[in-house]
Amino acid sequence: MTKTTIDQITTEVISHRFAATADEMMATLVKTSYSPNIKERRDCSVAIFDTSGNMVALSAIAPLHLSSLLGMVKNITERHPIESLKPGDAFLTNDPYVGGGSHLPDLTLMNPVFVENQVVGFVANLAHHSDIGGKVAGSESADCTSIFQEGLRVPPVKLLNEGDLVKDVLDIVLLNSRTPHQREGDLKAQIATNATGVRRVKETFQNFGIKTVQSALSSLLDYAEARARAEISKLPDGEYHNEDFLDNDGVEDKLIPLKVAVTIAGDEIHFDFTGSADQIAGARNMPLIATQAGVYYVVKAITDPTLPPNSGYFRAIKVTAPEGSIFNCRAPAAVGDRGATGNILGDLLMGALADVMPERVMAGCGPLHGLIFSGIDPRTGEYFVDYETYAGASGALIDQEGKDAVRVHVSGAANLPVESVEQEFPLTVERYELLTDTGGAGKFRGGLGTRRDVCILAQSGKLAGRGLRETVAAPGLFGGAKGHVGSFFLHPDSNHEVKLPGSFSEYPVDSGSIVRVETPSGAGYGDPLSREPAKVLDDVINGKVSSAGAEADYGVVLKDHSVDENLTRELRDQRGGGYEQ
Amino acid sequence: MDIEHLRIGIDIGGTFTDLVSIDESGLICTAKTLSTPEDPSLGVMTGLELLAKKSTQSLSSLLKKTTLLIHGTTVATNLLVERKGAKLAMISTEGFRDILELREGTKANRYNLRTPFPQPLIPRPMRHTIKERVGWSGLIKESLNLAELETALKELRQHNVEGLVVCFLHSHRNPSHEIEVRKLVKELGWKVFVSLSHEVLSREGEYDRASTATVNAYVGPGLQGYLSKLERRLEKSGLNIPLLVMQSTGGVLPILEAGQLAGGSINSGPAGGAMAAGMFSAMSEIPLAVSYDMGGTSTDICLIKGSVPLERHTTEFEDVKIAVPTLDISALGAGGGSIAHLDRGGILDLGPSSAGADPGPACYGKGGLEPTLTDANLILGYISTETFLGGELSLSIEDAQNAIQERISKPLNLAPELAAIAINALASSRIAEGIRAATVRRGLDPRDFSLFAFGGASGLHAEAVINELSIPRAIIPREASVLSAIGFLSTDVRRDYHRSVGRPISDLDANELRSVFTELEAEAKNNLEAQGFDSENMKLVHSLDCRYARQVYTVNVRAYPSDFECDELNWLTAEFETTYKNLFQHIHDTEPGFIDTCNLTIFGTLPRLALPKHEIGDLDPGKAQKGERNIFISEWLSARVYWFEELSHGMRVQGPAVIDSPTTSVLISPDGVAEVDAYGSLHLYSNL
Repeated sequence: MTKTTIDQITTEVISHRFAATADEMMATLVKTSYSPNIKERRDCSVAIFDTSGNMVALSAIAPLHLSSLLGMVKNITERHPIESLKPGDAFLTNDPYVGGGSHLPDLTLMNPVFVENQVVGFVANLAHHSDIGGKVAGSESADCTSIFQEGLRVPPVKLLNEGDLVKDVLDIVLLNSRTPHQREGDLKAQIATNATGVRRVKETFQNFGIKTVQSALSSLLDYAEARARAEISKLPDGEYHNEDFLDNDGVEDKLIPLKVAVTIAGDEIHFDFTGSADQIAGARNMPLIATQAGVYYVVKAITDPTLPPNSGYFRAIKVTAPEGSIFNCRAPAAVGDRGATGNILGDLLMGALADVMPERVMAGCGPLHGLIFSGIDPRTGEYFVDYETYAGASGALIDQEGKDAVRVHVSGAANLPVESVEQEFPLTVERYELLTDTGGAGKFRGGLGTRRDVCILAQSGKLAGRGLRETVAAPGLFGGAKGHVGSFFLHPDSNHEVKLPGSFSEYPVDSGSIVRVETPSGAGYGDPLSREPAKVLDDVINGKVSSAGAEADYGVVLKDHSVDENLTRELRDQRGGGYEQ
Repeated sequence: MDIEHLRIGIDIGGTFTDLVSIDESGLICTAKTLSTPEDPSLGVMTGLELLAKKSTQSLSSLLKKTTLLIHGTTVATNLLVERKGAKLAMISTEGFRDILELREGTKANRYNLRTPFPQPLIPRPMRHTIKERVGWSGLIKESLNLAELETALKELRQHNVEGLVVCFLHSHRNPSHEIEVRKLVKELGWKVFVSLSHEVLSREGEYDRASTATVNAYVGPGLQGYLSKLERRLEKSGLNIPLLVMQSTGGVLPILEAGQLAGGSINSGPAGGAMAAGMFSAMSEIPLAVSYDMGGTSTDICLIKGSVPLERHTTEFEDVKIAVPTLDISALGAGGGSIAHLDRGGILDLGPSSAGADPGPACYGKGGLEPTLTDANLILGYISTETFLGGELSLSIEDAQNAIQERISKPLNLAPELAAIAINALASSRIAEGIRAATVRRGLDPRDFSLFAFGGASGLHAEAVINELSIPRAIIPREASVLSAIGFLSTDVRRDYHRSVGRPISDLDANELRSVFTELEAEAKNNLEAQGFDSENMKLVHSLDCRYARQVYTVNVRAYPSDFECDELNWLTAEFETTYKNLFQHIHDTEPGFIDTCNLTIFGTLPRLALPKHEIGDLDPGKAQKGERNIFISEWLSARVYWFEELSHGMRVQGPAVIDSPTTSVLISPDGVAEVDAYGSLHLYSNL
């Protein structure tokens, strides 16, 4: 056997081991945590790092979580030099400005891994806690105007000191949360998760030897980089631009411009956000690391989704954004709702690269809408916070419809089952369904948004909501129509129906009130008049498009459950569409 | 030959239908025939004819002597994979028409934009909603609107619906509304397959219940139709005992129930292999084992603890969620037909695509140009060109070499045998990783395990796998290639009963818990009595799914009859905390544990299968030797070749050697050694 062959196989085995360790850590976290947001919605991630802070394995449902993980090793070791670390230490942090985090609810715990008395790497996990204090129950609201309103800021501090819980630190966290009992359960789960990770990483180093593993990791990073560069090289060199907008800054009703210039040169790709808005008053600012996470997601999704999840491929990608801008905010800008901007960032970048790789990009997407319910549960007399998000839909592709009811781009947590919502919280869900006619029309149709009605049975109930694409709809591609915008309503379908804004907090609601969320939908791809009439008919049969919508949006006339070819041709000709397509 | 009390196991696979019969003396007879996917019962009948011929008797005389016939089938699996299931309709709570399409609101691979969700198994126009509402505690908030229901049923009935799925919110807490639907369907005289979500899965989570009940109804009518057709054919040919069907849980059910709980047959075939491994574990008194069954396209891995295969709660099948228990079998895309290729980065990769049976590996000479694992193993001399599949298929080394040369050797600048050994090593490492994931991920150390290797392609990797994982030994049964069918004969009738509790341990007194289980026991025993079992042949297993109140995932805590005699429930708290701590290294000592569900499994024990045990005889393996053959390990060397079937108890084979049988080959490296046990199985030891 040649030497290279052996090395390749060993490297592969080691790589699988780290991936399996990350999966095992993830399973521990989800299985042992207390809050619905982690145990059911899986709003959490784990990662493994080498001593230089390169990520070598990741298990994550939301690409944005990368942003709360990537800077961790650097920030912790700056404060706690690597020589001072002891086996059994664990560091807790969440702060975007001094801790490498990206918003405060993501409490991240990181442990060094020791083999033969030296640090060989780090394991970390991140869990989105549903309340970490601050001005708003649920600690995430687009109308916060400073990070100090968003909750407890934790610089990298020891939660475990050589294996012993630092109770003082735990007590600070618990005292600052509106739901301390859940925090304690979740933090115990995070501690158990890293304990699992440390044990497994240690085993791998012991089984293969420190040198072998280190060299395998370094070649894995190189391998990912080489693959990313190979993909980028295939793209035509040039500079590509795009522009999109946030509906508002979370405080005032004004459009916030986002701009990107993408330069492809050889095997490098550079994303420059110069020209985007300055950092905004509300909480939709992105720390640079969150912007990077969004860029890394897009590059991987549209070049090679099978790129290994490690830091190697990041090396082929350069990201710049002016300091103090929305994509590289400075303290004390609020960042709680950075995920909303992250999802528009996804559309912004795909749109910029649409001409270069039309067969890979998605049309604009409908990002999730979030609601936070809080108040007293009359069944127990206890205070509760329910942090939930509701799926929007993805945009169409060159040859297929967008997905209905799915979280898009950088977000990824799952739905909380309706039965769990009702069991855990004083809420009943009255309906949850697809919204007919919302998918942006196109040769391929955008995914459908959803409607959910929730009846609030809490005492002293409060509501906070946030969602983008309520004013600026998801942009279509190559003639595809925009998606539909999303909305929040109170008392829907009644004569005192109120349309709520796209970001609000501490909104008092009486017991028995119903709140409706309609999530934005995905945009279309290609000219709707060139959509195969049979597909339009199929959509009508399946209730995705109404007969009226078929005629208005697609120029397809239906009669007796089939396409009226002549009238359709006539109508499409009138509109100058490409029926033959 | 006078054979009474014959037992027959039948396994319908993708390519072959395997049949095994065992008589009272333990004499095993096997037959293999091509599967007939259009009507699988035809292949079964052909196989039975073959089996009869081998024991020189007529089919009817064979079937008349048969006292037990257990059948594992891929019919349900194929209906799902090929999307050829029943035409379905659904009834759900008003406001929740789209449960199936709304899924979980996310997708597992965030970066893969191009894989669409599968089309829902029930199109939207066939999903009707009805006014009714059960609250989270089971309290009825709005009674079922029967008028609306009747209109909906009458409307759906006009559409030739074959299966009706009913999923109301919180039906696991109070199923009365779902039951009323079935009642009305009957009253209307509509003969449709009805799948009630709470019967298929009695657990919180409307998407899980809806999806599982839908899969059940999707494959149910097809499976029922097939089973009754097969039953008729068998009856006509002289069989006069009920046919039993292998379930994903490793138990068997009579065909009527198997049809109703069709979703439970999705893993029917692989479950047989896992059960067989369990049986061999019991025979050889092996406390911990991991089995891997490597066939043409995939490898199925299962853990066996105390001779019982482990289970899991949920399966994602082609993006469709099936949340019923099944033996925890994980499938890897690595088999003899797996295609070796270079990935985008120029690195050697294997599978998951497979050359299948047609064209098959390049060496089959049926026009396959892609190099497969089998081609690599042939080049290395591990497989004989003459004895493959009992000599029915002669293999072409030249075709194998050309394929590897073109696709792998040239681009990598490696000699063909080096490329072949890299492919072989990659396969071994894949299997090892799969086994590691199955063991280590559960906090179990592979060094504590024995490895069972079966299926046609496993014997060439067993030694490498145990060496990589430091597993002390591998056991390869002589009947390796038809082991699933044997596994069917080592099972019992099994039914699972659950009762959702949803209360802290501290809230319940011992009497309440006792009465929950007493009720479950009564229901379970009645069912088995109706199938003709007397209480001596029933076995009950009690367990509780526990967690902390605010968690979702449960840990399974086993309970024993003596536990229920205690006046307190301290034993349960202690058992729960110990189990939890073993898994997760912490407990919450200020909180009581929480009982999610009480489970009762009832087994109707079938006669034990006893394979013949042989005394130690002649220790000289020389008699079983069939010459020598050149094999490549790190260089070309000459290896002794033995016939598996002629090796007997106590014989020891020193490597380098290859042990051939009509359906499999086993490789023993120069440092390796193999021993034959009393059942004729080979034991390989790792080079620790």
